[in-house]
Amino acid sequence: MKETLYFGPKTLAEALALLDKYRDKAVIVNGGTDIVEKLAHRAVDPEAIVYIQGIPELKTIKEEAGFVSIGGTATYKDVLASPLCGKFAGLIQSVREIGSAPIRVVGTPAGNIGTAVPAADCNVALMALGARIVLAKLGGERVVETKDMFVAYCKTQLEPGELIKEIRIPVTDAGTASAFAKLAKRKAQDIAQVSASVRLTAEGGVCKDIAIALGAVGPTAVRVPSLEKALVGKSIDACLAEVKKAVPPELRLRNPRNKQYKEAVVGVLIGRVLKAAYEELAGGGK
Amino acid sequence: MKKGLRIVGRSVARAEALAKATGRARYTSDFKRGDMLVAKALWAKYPHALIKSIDTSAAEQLAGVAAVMTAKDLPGRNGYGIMVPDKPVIADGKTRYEGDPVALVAAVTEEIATKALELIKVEYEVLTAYDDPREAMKDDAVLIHPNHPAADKGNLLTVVKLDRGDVEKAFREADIVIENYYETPMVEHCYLEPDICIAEPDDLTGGLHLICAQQAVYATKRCLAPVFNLPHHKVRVSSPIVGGGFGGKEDSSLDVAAVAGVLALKTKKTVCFELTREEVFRTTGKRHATYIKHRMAATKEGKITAVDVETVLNKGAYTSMGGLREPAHAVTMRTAAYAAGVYAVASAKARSYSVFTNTPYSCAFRGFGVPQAIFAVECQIDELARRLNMDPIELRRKNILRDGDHTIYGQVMKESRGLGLEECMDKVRDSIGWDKPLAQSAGPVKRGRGFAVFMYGTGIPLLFEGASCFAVLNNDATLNVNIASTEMGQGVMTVMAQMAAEALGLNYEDVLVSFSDTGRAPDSGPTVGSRSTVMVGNAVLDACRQLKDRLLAFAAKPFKADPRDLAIEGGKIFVVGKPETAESLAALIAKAYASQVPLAATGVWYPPQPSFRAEDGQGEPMHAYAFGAHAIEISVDTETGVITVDRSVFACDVGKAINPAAVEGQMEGGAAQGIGWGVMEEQVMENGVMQNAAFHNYMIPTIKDLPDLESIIVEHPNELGPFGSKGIGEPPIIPAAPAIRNAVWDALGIKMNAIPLTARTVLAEIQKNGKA
Repeated sequence: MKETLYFGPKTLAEALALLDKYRDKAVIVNGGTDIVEKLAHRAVDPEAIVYIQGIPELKTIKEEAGFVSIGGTATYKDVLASPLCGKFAGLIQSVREIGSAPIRVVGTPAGNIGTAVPAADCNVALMALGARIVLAKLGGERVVETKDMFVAYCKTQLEPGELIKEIRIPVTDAGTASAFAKLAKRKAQDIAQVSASVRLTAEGGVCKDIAIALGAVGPTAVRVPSLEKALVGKSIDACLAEVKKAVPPELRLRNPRNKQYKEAVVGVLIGRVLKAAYEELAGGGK
Repeated sequence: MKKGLRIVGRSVARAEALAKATGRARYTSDFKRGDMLVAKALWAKYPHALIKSIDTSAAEQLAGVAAVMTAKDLPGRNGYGIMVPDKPVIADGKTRYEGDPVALVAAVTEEIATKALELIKVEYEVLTAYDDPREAMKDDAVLIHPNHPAADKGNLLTVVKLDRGDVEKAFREADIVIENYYETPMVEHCYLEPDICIAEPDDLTGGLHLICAQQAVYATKRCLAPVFNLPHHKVRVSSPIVGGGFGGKEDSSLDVAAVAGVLALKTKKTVCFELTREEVFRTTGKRHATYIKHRMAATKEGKITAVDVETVLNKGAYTSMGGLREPAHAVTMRTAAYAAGVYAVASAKARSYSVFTNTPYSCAFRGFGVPQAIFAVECQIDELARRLNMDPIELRRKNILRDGDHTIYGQVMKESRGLGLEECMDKVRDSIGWDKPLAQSAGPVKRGRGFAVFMYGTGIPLLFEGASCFAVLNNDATLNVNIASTEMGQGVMTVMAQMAAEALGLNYEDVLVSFSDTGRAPDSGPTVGSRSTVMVGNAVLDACRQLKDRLLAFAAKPFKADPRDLAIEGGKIFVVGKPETAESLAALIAKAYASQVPLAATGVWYPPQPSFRAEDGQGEPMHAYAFGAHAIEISVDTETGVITVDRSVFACDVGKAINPAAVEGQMEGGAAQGIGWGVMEEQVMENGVMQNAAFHNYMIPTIKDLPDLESIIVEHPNELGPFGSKGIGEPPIIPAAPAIRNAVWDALGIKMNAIPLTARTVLAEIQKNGKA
């Protein structure tokens, strides 16, 4: 039986060198909550495992140049404990919904992006918040918007040799708030049937700017520009009335078992997160 | 009831609690050793197919493989089962569900065994696979068991018939008839510990020792000795503590033990066979899915006069807990017997059809078919109350079985065996505030309240009733009690020690209960059917009485007292009323042994001989019943269909709670499992292939899905039960699902007759009814 090489780099530079060497023959293990199961069942069978949790420089959460940046190996627990991340209600609400406490101790937002399942809670919140993802490789970096990151079911723009270095969330002012909610088959430790997140900027009860993201309504998490465009400039009450029965064209549902249900509740869920975000603003925000 | 109990009736700490809480308790998988072979099964690629050829040559040549076996390589009978040996150890020429092994491998590592499976080549001819018994029982359906003794009935294994009174006349004369069709899903037990067996050939005896997590060590020995071609006395079966069974480990243990055992005999080495969680889902037994057509006749005053019930059960691929000879078909028989639930109904007709399909075999699962039957009845009576505009609890009160009443199968109800249902109903009614309307809010959330009741006969009469045990008094005045029952978290070690200590005047800590080993104890019967506290408890009391009688008779001379005036308590023996006469019990025991007084005993107990006629389903099968009433409050989000269970108030008549904390544990666990059955659990099958074989898509409730589970213990003693007790292991699962369904009707004004009531099905009904 073939041996698998294991590497535990201590610096980003070391990690990038390894990824450059093994390219698509390498698998990155971050929190490992998804990939380790696949490795154990040999659903993936790499030449090299690069375990990145031992890289201290990727662990930090900091604010600079108008962004809160979450390092590539920061865990959900780190996010929940961070006052900087606490500014983004939608992010915190989504992270609280992920798995169980033990999963949140090891799982990471960057890993969630890399795995790219369409129901991933945190990705939907990050997408609504307009987060940017910094991809590093040997000799360079590039920045990708979350909404452009997911290209197909469980597939991202990440190329062989690349690593998610950090996630940058643009800092907003007091006129902007966010929210996340999901519907699942049970109330904890479950995958979303539908999830929704908004970032809302409102003034005088009128929607000035809005970003809406949905999870589990197609092969990837998606932004909903059709609704976003329709809502800007309208009163919040009008927005709520408009979204409630909406079945946005961005939905790409195929399984007849759940299509009808998801279409029936997606507008309800968007309405609820919109209302939650607006209530936070109306309540004085943070 | 006995007065002045010292130990019985107290919530003493569980005997095994410390070891479990500290992680030191050893389960079967903790007995694995490095030098064991690892077994793997090649499961059927197609759930229903003919096997045209198998080529194992490449697998046999793989380094590290100790044995590859197909049906032609078995040492004995290629068939086993609790009632009928129709489940093959290895599929021979045909597969009937995706859990049939086609070949077995034993290798030095799991990795090599898995690799070997990939090298086995099998050619199949695929047949139509049936998920639904209503399809499988059609005349033109492909026969799943062409050579089965029941094959003349097509895929129909058995029909249980019950007839009492003049049903046609009752329906003709009825003021009101309620007719509905109900469906309940196939569900998995979801015990925490996956099935496992370590099989050790015993070179000293030429026999085999099976260390295997299970519920019935003697049944395993009886069922598998012919498979190994060994006499029964050379098959030793033992079970360390078990991580949950719920009825499943009466059968699935046979599956893993058969595989490990034949490989151990073949290789002459110790072999371990442990299922993965996915294998547990795909291959082990399940709760029977049922399809119930229920008609109920009543007068306008609310007296139920007749029921006419037709139940189709999904038997799955093999007979399991069922027989060819009606009514030795525990689950099917109960769906007919409980067709009128807890109510005194003069006329009844019930037909229950158990039908083979290509799903996993249906087996025992907490309640033996009673939850399915009661689900239908408790929905029916709720509708009757609505139609008559009567309070559902008062309507039930008018109809419940009372002292001297006959069940629809002819059993006479006796107050002396404990009939505490009405007290349960009243306590729940008061506690939940039934007469106060629920507060409703203006938003999309609607609230509702539902009620359901049950009765459940203690034990499994007509199958393997009766119990035996050994008890030995030691020189230091401690006692060993050896029983063959399983400790699977229900607390059998604890309650047996409590009862023995009470009976013999010992301290609780001075009794040690050894369990589930055919090498150490006589047959106590299987640990199923809510039977151990009563059946095995009585056997333990019998042994303790013998020991006490012998001790007191021996003590009469030195104490110069009549044995009837002597008492034992807290390790002392004394003349009643004269504490100054007290002497050390240990000293007396030493003297007794020296004087050739035997202080080891076999305890035995059998319930009254049961009866149940196959022709008309009439008889007296049960000796006592547990009862209960459950009220549940729910919220329904009418925009999403999501149900939240807000409150659960549950009362059970257990006769006597030997250990109240253990009884509450059973009640809370049953309520949680019942809520799961009602709102989320479901094994989804498509053409014989399970679609949700993992805990991320097979849902069971988490603590966030449950309210605070309120439990009320009611005690109407059973004259035949030890200290008045009745069985309470299974029945708490029964009433939650119908109570939730009735609460949904209350909240939404919508009748739903198929569980689970998932958000998807609830929202679809809301939209259909225009109530969004």
